[in-house]
Amino acid sequence: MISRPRRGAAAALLATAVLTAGALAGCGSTSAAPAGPSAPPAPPVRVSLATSGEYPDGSWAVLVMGGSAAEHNNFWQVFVRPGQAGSWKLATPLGVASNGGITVAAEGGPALAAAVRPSQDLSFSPLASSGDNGSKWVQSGLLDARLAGYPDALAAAPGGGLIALTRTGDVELRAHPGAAWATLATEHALVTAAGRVCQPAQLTSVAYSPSGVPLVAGACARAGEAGIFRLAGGRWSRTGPVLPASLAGQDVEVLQMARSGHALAALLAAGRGTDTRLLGAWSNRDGTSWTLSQPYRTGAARPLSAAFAGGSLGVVLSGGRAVSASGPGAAWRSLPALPATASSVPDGGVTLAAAPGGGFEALSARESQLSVWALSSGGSGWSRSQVVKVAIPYGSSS
Amino acid sequence: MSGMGSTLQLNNPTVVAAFQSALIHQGIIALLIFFLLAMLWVSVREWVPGSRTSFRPAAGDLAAEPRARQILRIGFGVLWILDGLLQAQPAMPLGLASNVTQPSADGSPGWVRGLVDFAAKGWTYHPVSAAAAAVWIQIGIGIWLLTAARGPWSRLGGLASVGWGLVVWIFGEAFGGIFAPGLSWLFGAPGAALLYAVAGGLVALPDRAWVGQRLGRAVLAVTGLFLAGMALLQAWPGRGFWQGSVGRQPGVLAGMVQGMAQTSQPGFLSSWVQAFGTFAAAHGFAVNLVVVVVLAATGLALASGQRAVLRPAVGLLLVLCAVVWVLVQDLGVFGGLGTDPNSMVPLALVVAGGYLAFAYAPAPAAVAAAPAAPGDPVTPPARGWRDRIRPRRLATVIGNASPRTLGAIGALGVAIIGVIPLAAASASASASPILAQALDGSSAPLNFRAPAFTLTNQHGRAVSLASLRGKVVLLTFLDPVCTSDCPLIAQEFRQADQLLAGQSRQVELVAVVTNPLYTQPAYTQAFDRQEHMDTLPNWQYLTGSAAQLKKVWRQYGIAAQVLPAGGMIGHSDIAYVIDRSGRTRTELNFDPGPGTASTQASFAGELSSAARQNLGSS
Repeated sequence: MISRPRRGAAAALLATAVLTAGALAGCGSTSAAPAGPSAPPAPPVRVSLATSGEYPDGSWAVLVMGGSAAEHNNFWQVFVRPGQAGSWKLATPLGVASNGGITVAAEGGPALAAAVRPSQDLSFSPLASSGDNGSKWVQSGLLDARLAGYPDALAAAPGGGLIALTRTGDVELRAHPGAAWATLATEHALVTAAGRVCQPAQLTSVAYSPSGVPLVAGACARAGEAGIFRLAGGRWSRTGPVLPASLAGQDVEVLQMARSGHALAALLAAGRGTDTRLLGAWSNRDGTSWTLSQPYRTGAARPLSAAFAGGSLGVVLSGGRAVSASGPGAAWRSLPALPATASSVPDGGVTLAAAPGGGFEALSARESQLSVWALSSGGSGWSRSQVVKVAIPYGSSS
Repeated sequence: MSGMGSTLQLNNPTVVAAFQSALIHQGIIALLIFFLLAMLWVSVREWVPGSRTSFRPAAGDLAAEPRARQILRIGFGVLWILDGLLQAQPAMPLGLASNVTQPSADGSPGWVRGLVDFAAKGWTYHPVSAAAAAVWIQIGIGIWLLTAARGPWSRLGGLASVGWGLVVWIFGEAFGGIFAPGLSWLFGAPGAALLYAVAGGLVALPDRAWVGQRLGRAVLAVTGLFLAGMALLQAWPGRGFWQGSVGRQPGVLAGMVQGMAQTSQPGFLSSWVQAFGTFAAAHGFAVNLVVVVVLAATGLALASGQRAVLRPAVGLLLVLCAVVWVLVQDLGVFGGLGTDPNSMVPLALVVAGGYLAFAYAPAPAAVAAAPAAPGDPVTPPARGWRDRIRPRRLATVIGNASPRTLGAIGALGVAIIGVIPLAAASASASASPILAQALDGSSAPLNFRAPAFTLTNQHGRAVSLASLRGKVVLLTFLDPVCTSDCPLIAQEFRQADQLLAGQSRQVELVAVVTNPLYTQPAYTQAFDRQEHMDTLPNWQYLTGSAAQLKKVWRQYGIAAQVLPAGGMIGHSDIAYVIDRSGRTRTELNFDPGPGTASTQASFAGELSSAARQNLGSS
């Protein structure tokens, strides 16, 4: 017998239909495409923590080693090459996990300062200093904050003074090793006090000028402006540099700023994506005026790391390219393409460093091996000049 | 050892052994329940005058059970027992919450994830009790449905199925994913447990509901509309079901199927599923078209209530259910964490039950209660509650109970076996100590005078162990710049202090620095701020020179190794319990393992328990 649907069944049908419609409405809302025709903006240009620098007694470099994709098996290492003709040796401070990164600063004289960026559950940054080319590090207190993830987030002055940039954008000063940290500046304070033109949006570097004046640098929210600030007489002032008119309208960021020889140098990036141009900048002794290099268009490559040596600036680009600028007003010079084994390392695994006879050499790290690459005599290629094996403490941070 | 890592594997032997032991003990109790019920029944009938009657079923039991109800009751009874047995798999205590229930809520709104996380927390805090409870509750409901064929006890079994089915659907299946964007009938929508609840609800209906075709028609209509809705959802553009592959990656259906094929299972089944996954990747549009058409056609046919199309529609749907169950849902029971055969079998049972209720609806006379025969023993109606509990009356009731009723009572007892230990465990604020024991083994009882030391606390004051005499001391060794274990251990000490509540005034929490390089109080102070230990008045973080510290480590058997190349200090993770008289009473291995909320709570519970024991025994 066939009978007509009853009222209860009809109500159930209606309820189910409503539920289904509701589910479809939800479905439709989740699959809706975002409106607007514009493509997402290219991300800001950033370099890794890998870098190198000089101090009166030699050179230092920071690279990441390990080999697993797991962050806890990547260990940042400090290498030091004492003197001008010596070889590189491992000089990573002991006693604390370096998975979060290490930042090194030359104090002047034979001394180096290092800050270990916290990883996992650690929330402060232990400090150490060495007066013997990294052979022995002495624990020198801590920064009770997370150090910012930039290669020049720490700067040292002769006598042990330190400036540190924290992850929250505060600039902290420790006048001498026994002193307490005091906040020197905040991004907000820079905006209101000295940054109306630049409107600093992201601080990336701190440094001391050759005459001992604290400086901070970063990205400006306003296009076409470079953000380097100088502290004098208790007040912050913007000190440039002034960019060429051809870069007006471009986003400008200071990627790094550090001592290079007897000068203070900075690496700037103007523009985004394939329209990025690199510029070197060199200051006078007190950081009041800056002179730029010629701009260098990176094209599809992105900067991976920068190094400061003898007043020159060297940059490793993706794709195995490397360029250098020798000083104010100079044009960028392409270095020979890096060997495949050096250019295929993970981010943070390659940097240029001061070569013993001037110019640059390349350091690349893969798993437990550091390779040092020297330019051949004709300058047409790279040859491996040293290998350093490192006993990576795999699994010790998990 | 800190810095050497340890994890809690799903098949951790300590947890698996505890789980199996619990199941064996509770299984013996279940058998005892049935044995005692049988003994009681036989004894009452033998020894209590007036209760020894020839067994006669209750009036409601006399009527023939409708075939539709029978198939639902027996089908879901078997399914509940199968699910209970699947819950007894060794990986369930540690794997169900993290690998099954919480992932099922991925993509669901926050309030759904909150509900699932709430239940998952309870499970992870008491994994053995919870897993055993799930086993016995489901086996109990299954036995209940199978044994109680008719009458109030049978309908109560249906209600139990509704209740537990909804619990599983909400907390274990995240509402069957109906609030998540990837909802699909192929992947189990609307959730198997909801179908268990629906079937339970049907079993719980009174006898009169089964008279005529109305119930069967309603079941088929609702199911039909649901299927039509699922067809529409399956056909909705932009959800990825029309594409077999996207670029070189498999599409939604092919990816799901190929993922299922990777599950540990018999080789022939894996090869079938893999082959279908490859086929779906190559012919995604055609596969989805078939699914959409069959779902829509069968759905509309069921909803129409037209007898002429019902039989072929039900047949076609059952075939599709079987194909999807094997080739898409991969039977649902493999991999060590399969909790049920997924949605196709229960859906097929509901559809079959609905069809039988419609096509073979019993006549009113068939389900009417038969009158009691003259001379049958009839229990007179009770006069108030006092009369109900009179021994004589109870004996009569027990003596007159049918074996099926006794089976249902026994099944209820089986379910309660699982609930009671879980309820008792849940009453505790700390997690089960089994987690700590699984990671680090059992604590070791000791009895020797604790080696003396004098070190400097985080405030720069000298503290000796002797100065803490009169208090129970919980002593551990922590590296202030450690990035993994030590912060977790500090939190476990902090939780233990909270568990001790008022007794914490009689307990001193003491840590000794285990880094020979970072020894200055500035580091212990920073560690205290980081872990908020500086708010605990009974917390002492002691340091000293490297030589002083090494002496203490040696006395307490602590190994500390300076690792090269950016490694943190490798050191022992140990806690000692020192009683009020200064004697070391317990050694606890304290490697915090994965450091989840449940393992931290477990260690904290173990620590506070050890402290309490020493407070009580002093």
